[in-house]
Amino acid sequence: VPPAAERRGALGVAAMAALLAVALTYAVTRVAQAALYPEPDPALVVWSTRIGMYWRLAIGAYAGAMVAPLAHAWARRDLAAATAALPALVGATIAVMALQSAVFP
Amino acid sequence: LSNTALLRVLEHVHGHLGVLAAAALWHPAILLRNLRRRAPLSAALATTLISVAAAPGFYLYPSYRSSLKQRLFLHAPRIGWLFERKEHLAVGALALAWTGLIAHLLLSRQLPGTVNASLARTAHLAYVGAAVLSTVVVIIGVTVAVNAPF
Repeated sequence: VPPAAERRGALGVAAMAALLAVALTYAVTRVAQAALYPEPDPALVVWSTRIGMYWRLAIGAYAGAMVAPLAHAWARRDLAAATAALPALVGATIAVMALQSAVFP
Repeated sequence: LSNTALLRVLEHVHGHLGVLAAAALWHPAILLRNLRRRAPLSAALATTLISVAAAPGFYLYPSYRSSLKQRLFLHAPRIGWLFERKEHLAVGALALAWTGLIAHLLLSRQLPGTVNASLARTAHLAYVGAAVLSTVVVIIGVTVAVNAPF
């Protein structure tokens, strides 16, 4: 494999892993928030200073930024193995997002 | 334009672009069933469309919370919870669409066949996921918009 193609592949794997980490962390954070720190009934809340969705996205972005270099290092070492893991990660993301939305809106 | 009128315009733009994006995402989802098929234009346009559709939604969310959310939960809590579901699913759809685009654009003759096969499967699955989630988002969005416009 030409080194340039390998570098491009590793960067792509890192970007995809980061994006999927954002979505997965978002869902897991929402589940943890709903299970451990339930919010008051939204019908009773007039105003809140923090917007949960933005916070979950920020935490997800932080997790994505941590996952990216790890995924990049793995892909530089073994691109075939790293890319082979992606379909399962995509499937897990779809399942977790759908389950979280259904059970912990 | 008053603030409410601006919010209404943005709400409409967001909704119409969202419907177009959900429809557009089905195109790469169907085309890329064939793992040897290349459809970079379809993938890029669908991903751009969902990103452009998401932007006004992201901007509108604080206004929804301050002026609509409580009213919605008081009068129709089921629809209120549906709206919350919509936001979560939209985040997933956006991440999946970009994942699909990156996987598809990485396909290259310079990469080994096993790597290309994994990337093609990733792109197809990601676009199917994005299309399904965005379609659910559109259905929920229309339901909410009919019941609680700005």
